[in-house]
Amino acid sequence: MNAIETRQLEKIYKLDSVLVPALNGVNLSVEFGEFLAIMGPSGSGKSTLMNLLGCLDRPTRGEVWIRGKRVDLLNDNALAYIRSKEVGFAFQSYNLLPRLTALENVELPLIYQGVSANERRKRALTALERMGLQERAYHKPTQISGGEQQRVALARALVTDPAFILADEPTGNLDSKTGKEILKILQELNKQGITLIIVTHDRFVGEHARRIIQLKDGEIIGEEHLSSPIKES
Amino acid sequence: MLGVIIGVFAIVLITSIGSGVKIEVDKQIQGLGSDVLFIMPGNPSGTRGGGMAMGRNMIGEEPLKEKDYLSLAKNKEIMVSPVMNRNIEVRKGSESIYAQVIGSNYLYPEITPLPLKEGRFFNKLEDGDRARLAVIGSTIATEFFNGNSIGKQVYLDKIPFKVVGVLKERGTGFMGGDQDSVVYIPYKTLSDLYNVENITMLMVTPKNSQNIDELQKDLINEFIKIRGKENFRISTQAQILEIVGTITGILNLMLGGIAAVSLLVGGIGIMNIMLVSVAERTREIGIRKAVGAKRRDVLSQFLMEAVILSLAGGTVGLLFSYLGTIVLKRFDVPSAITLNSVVVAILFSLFVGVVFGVYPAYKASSLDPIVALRHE
Repeated sequence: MNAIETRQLEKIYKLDSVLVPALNGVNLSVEFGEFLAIMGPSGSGKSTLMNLLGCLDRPTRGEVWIRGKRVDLLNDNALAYIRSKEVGFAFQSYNLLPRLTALENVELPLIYQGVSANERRKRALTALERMGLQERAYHKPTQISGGEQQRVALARALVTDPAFILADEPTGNLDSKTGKEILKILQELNKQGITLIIVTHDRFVGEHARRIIQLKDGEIIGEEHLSSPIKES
Repeated sequence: MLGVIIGVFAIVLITSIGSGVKIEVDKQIQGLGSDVLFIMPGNPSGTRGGGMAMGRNMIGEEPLKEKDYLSLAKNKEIMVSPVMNRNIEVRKGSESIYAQVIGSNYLYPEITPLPLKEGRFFNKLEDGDRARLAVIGSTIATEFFNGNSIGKQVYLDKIPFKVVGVLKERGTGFMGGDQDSVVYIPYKTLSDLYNVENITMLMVTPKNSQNIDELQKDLINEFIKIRGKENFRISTQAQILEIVGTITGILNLMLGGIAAVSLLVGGIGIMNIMLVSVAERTREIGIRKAVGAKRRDVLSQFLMEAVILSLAGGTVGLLFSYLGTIVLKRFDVPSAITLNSVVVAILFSLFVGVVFGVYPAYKASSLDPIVALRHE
């Protein structure tokens, strides 16, 4: 069983009356424990693929399987449940809620799963500790640095114990030093068994993964297995 | 928000005035005794002039005269008192006020309760004698004599009267008017010295306890014989109070209209606030949806916010109406905030919040997470 798998995935957008194909038969399997980078220039279909993997959107044709369960046919509510349960998001701009504390931000997906308040607090604190942020738990996003915000976002992604974490340009808004710190954390998480998919156009970022797939014009045009990814220490 | 405040304010005031008036009216019923009949000139169907036109006769109505009273007074089964009134300047030394001077006979305090603080009412002898005796209301007693008024003199339009009694404090009458600034004098004195010819009404009560509705029927027949035709009205206490009730009902209806419009405006205001809030927080909605919020999670969140907003407005409105009732009491308008009005206020603001929060909340819940996340 794979963490996530796509079969002949197609996505066609309809802009006015013009049909714009964004993905064209993508077959992708990600095993548990993998660290995959999806790379490609803008317009290659990266974002579309990410939206489909993250269950934010449905394909025009083809199938998406997460943890052995087909999800592309589910309705909005069921899809929302899969998002909260199986997908951990980390975005370029962190996407934390500015009015909530770091702890409350991490608790957010658990709220929508209906986890009790005590349990939520406990798990969120554990996730923040894992990111070395226990001292920032009661700070709001504006009171902490960009790197810390991204770590809060990663804690939020981790807290539900998802099938995989989907990171969209996770270092894009950070200076290179902080970016490297985040990459180091991602590698450590992967070492602990977390399945990671990062979407990036940056070759340097991609080379921290153990496998890179190249996307162009909605198709996979290349795949590399890196025997020795860049190590951040 | 302001609309909700005004709306709730109006609703609470309506219900509190309503219940205040009811309490007051109940008190009046007990205060006047229930077996009193009022005979007034006018159309017997009772629509024209109403029971309220005391002291004024409508054009074309045949006023009640002394002979009507004297004829009716021959009936040994009943007690009758004429009631005449006129506004007259009451003076003591350099102080003067205009007061309602009521002319009645000595039976008046037996027909309707008229509690005295001190002194007495004029008696039968003095009544027939055109005596210049006055029973004064508590306000006049306090202002003119500082409470020590028995045996003193007051001038009614320059004619001296001796004070023989002081009434207890009674507050505002159910037909309006300050009942503490009145002067009772014998009706013959009033009619002879001040040229008052018309009797405003005759008040009747049976000597022995008798069914008031039967007495009403008997009196109508008897009075037709006296007057020649039915150009008068005989009403019971309850019938007059009914008219008062109708009037407060109309007032309530008007205030209700104001409340409805205000709540509508307030609701639209809340809807606007929520729509702006949804637009401003599009990204937040996207984030919430990305981490697993279902449509109904987002829907209920925004609905809750609308309801809280509206309830806050309602609470402020409630506070204002509490202050409002205090002000109204100053102006002698009876009002009382009851548990009922509080519940009504809360329910209404809840209702407004839900009704006008649904659309913005629905809009928020239907946002596409991808679009919402991309929103800056």
